[in-house]
Amino acid sequence: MKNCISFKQMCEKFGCTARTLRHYEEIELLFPQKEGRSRWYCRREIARMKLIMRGRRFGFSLEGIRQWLLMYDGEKNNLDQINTWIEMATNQIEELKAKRITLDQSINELKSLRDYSIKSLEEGNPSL
Amino acid sequence: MTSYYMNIREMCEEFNVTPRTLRFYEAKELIFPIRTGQRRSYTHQDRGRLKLILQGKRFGFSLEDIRQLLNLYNLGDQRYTQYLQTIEKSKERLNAMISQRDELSEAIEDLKAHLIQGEHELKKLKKKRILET
Repeated sequence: MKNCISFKQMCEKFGCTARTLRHYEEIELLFPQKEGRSRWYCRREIARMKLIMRGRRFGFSLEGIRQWLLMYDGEKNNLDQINTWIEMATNQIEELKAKRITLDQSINELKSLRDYSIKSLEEGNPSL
Repeated sequence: MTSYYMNIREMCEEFNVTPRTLRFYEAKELIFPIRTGQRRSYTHQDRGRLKLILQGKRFGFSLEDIRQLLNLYNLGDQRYTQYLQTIEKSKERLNAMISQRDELSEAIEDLKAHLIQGEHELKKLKKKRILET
C-alpha cells in the first residue's frame, strides 16, 4: 500500500511494543487497514499515533487522549470538544507542575544525602 | 516517648505504610522484626531502617540497592564503604532525576503552547458563531 507502513515498521517508528500497538487498536484509538492478517498504517493513523505518544508524554490518560483525538478529527467546529480539551490540558499542566515540585524535593533531599556522605568520607571519622 | 518495641499497627501509622508492605520488606530481608508466633515486634533499628528504605524509594533506588547499602552499615569499616557506595548510587539517581525533571519541564512548556493554540481556536470559533447568527 502506498504511503502506508506495516505493524512492525510502526513499532519501530514510535519505539513502542507490539502489545501497546495492539492495545491502542483494541480500545479504538487506532484503526489500521487490515489485509488478511496484516495491518497497514497510513497517514491518518500515523498522525493519530503521533498525538497519542505526545499525549502520553503529557501524562494524559488514554481517555483524555481520545478526547484530544476527537478534537483533531474533523470535529474542529465543536465548541464543547475544545472547551473540554482546554479544561483537561489546564488541569494536566497543574498536575505536571505538582509532580515537578515533588521531584525537586526528592532531588534536594538526595543532594543532601550525597553531600553528607562526601563530608563524612572526607572527615574520615564518620559519626551520626 | 514511644516504647522500644512497636507492633505492626503502630508501624503502619507511624510510617504511613500497609501491613503488606512491612511483610514484603521483611521477606526481602530489609527489616527484621522479632517474631513471637504471628506477632511481630519492631525494634528501634527496624524503624531506622524503614525510614531509610522509604527515603531510598523516593530517590528511585531499587530495593536490592537499598538492601546492599543498609547492610554496609555493619561492615566494621566506620561506614567507609557505605558512604562510598551511597555517593556512587546518589550520583546515578541524581542524573536520572535531573533528566526526568528536564523532560517534565519540556512537557509543561509544550502543553502550554498547545493550550494557547486551543484557546486561540476557541476564540476564532466563537467569533464565527457570532457572525453566523
